[in-house]
Amino acid sequence: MKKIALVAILALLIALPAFAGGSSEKSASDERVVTTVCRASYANEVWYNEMNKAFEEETGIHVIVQPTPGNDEDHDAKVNIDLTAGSKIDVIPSLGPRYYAARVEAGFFVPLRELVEGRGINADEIYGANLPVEEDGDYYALPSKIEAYCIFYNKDLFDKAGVPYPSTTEPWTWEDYKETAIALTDASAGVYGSFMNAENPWLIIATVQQEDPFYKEDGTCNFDTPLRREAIEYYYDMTKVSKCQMPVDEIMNENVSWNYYAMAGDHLAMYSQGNWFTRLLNSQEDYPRDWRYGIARTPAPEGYNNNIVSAAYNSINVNAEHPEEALEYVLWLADNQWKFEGGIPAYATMTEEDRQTAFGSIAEASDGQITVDDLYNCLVNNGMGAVQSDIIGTAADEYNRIANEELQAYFLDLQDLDTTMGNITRRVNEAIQSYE
Amino acid sequence: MPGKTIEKKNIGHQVFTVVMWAVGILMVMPFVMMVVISFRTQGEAYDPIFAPFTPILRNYEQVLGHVNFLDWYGNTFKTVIITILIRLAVTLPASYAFSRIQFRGSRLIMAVLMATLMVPGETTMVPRYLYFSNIHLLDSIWVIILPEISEVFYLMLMSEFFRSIPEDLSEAAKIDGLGHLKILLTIFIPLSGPAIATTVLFSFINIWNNFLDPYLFISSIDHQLITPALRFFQGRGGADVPVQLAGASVATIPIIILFIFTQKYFVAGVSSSGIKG
Amino acid sequence: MSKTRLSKSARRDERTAYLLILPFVLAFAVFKLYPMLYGILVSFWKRNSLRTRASTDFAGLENYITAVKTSTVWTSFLHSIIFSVIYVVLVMILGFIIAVLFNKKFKGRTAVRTMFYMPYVTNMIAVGIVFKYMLNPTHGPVNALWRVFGSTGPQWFNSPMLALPTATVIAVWAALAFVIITILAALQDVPEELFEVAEIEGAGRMQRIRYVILPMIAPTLFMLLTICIINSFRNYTTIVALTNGGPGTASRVLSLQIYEDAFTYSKYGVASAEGVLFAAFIIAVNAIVSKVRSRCLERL
Repeated sequence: MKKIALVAILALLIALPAFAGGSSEKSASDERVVTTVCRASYANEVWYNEMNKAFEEETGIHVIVQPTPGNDEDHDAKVNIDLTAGSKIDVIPSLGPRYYAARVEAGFFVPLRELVEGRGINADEIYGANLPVEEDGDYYALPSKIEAYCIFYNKDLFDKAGVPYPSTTEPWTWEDYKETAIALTDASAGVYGSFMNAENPWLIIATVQQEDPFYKEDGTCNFDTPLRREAIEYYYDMTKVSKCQMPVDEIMNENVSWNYYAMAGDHLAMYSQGNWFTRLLNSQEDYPRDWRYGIARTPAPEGYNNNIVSAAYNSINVNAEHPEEALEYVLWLADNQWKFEGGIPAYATMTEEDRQTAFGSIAEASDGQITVDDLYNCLVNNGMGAVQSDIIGTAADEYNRIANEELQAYFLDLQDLDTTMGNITRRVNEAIQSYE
Repeated sequence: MPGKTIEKKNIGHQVFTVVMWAVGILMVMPFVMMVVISFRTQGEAYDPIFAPFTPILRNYEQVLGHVNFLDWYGNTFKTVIITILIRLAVTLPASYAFSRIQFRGSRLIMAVLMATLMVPGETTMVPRYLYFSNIHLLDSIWVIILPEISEVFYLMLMSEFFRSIPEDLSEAAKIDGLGHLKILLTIFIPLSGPAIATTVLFSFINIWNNFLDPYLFISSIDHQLITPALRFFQGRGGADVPVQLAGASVATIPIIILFIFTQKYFVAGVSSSGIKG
Repeated sequence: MSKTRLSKSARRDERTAYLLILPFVLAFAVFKLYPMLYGILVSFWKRNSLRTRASTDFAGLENYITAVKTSTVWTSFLHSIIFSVIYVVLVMILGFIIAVLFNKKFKGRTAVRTMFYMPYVTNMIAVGIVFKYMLNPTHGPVNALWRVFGSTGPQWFNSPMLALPTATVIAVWAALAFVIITILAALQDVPEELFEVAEIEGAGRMQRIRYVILPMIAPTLFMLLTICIINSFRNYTTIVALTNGGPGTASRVLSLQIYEDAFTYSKYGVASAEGVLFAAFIIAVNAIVSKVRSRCLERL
């Protein structure tokens, strides 16, 4: 009996690969294809697949997508590993300037000016400051969208607490934000007034807006500044003193991931995030939600009127197997990705039509909870300057991680602020040195 | 009174039995939870383990329905089977030579082989990666297979087993005029069923559960193996625990079943390998 | 038969032997030994950014100096040692106790043994998902025991004190089977008569273990010790699956440091130097263990 079962199992095990072999059909050789990579989370997203389908229909070029296992950080590390190994993937997306800059430095990307201008396109004019022009005057990517930060809030919790909704047309400060959050917090009901992720830039968000430099003039670490301490104390106060923001230990216990607010926003009154998050809040299928949401501007520190804005870039790998198709895909994404993703185009100026396209469908999908004007006023027409969310420069990736690790330890009350600052400065300087 | 001590002993023995069972159940509790929770909805994930619920298949549909799921399973089986075949083909002759033939340099070679056992793969992942990249081996199952075929552990296991085969047998064969290859093929291999079974089983478990190598060396989603592929289901972070657990179940249950049926060889293998000292 | 002039048949034997080991040794040299040596080479090259990823410029001892001067390398190293010590001590002691208990007959022994062996065959990534679920401090089933008494209980992976030990204990849980089986096999080789003699002489249970069992299985225990020490440094997957080095750097082990230095920050030179130093350390530890072993075995 046992033997028969054993044989049966083994037979089953051996037979399986045969099925697998049948499932992976190869595309015909004369078909035009382009290959790209994406995060594991993107691969399941409807918009991403629809975008690629639309590209295929329009151009006849088949898009082959390689998702990477693990979380978003793993993704960028893995892409670097593959590029180092001479990956032949055609189009490489870089979210934010940090990875983009390092990859350009490493010579992974094809310079695009000549190719793009050869198509009669003046990218400098179209994308303005959003075009990542390097010191050599060339650019190695086209921006496909920008993400502007804003505050999402739970209207039901505001109503319940009797607090008026934040304005979409007037600026407000982080102190205003904290007061609002305190008024919304209801510990007995498990409601927190504020929810910000326990990572950069949120841990030091005010100093990012203040453009407090991360490096000293001699290139060493400049993390320990009075402004930075103030920003860190602010987050600390929110979590441990005013208790109006979900504390870091709870954030870790909840295993909070990028989509947490879309699922747990019913007890989190305000959430600071990029505008891309509307996609999740509007997706009733993936994230069923029984509360109404609104949108507000990112608060700014007193005297600094900057919003955090980051761009997404698409580049062509120097080892690309299909360089022509790659160019085609990169150009198309620059004009179309934002439409599918529900984002903001990276154009220098937005026409009325762009505004309608970008925000119209979002407003519509929100079922009247937010309007085109809300979106436009909070994200674009807010009179705010734009600053980058990432630390950029020598050992930026390590810098960012070290700051995250040490600050988290501080917010968990494992070490005091002086130790934290000392650790960050020491470790970052060690990292910077090892790059020399 | 003898009767009383026996009774006392009996009670003691019963307590012992119960304790052993309890600890045993505790040991497998993670697997029980894994399977039970994988049939629940997200909302029920943290309900008590014995709480009644209506089992759903949606989590498994999501895992098994993944476009590349069969690729991962298929690649893993292909890798395991090819590795085992080549491994046996190179290890059996080498083990025979090391255990039955005296030749110059055998001690030196064995010493070098044994010395490398001391170096965990973690310490050499960087040069391995760079080297495999140089020789264009990355991103195929061969980058897992080729380094696996000459695993010293199995050489030791097999050599030890060959040494336990009575000397007379091969001597008799030699007198009959048989060459070494013939002796290996006709006498040693037919006798080494248990050792081969152990090799197969251990290879299966080790390659199946290898995370670091395929994660590092394989980049295409359709070339990936099952264990690193589990990380594709972690894209949603802590959000979808049941789906992650369904993935974990799919990756572990087959090997647990295989193990339950072949435990005998597993135990025999551990105890007959060179480990006895 | 003189040493220099072998008989004809011996020489033919030798040639056959070389042929028989050739495939194995060749594969070994190309895919196992060479990468190890290559690592030593890379550790002397200036390969510390994406731009210099293919550089073969000689760096002297620079990479080693950078590695030794980096404080995170030392904390990671310390964590690796803590992991290793807890792992080896627990796995050896628990393995021994359970093996001795399994040597006694009881109802359903085979089934219970299977239960103990099961964790060994499963992979850490899958197991990590389950343990993260079970040890969730706010909702998890383990902390439910604490919630009964109104406290939240330990923070497990989120506690800097507990994260590393918790991960280690889970690694022990997974590795226990190997130790149990090996010791059990050695115990079954201890002749029955020895126990009987000991019993007649009125030896208690502890004495029996000390004077009869331990000396008999000492060689096995030392062999196991060596294997467990080596395995205790193979902890990359365990840490990645359970804590990813956190919280902060509380459970960052050296293998994680090597991985990140190389594959996240592209410092291949420094990471290789760390690897070489780490390997040298492990070899040194094993050399000490084997010295101690020969001393101990002599005395027995």
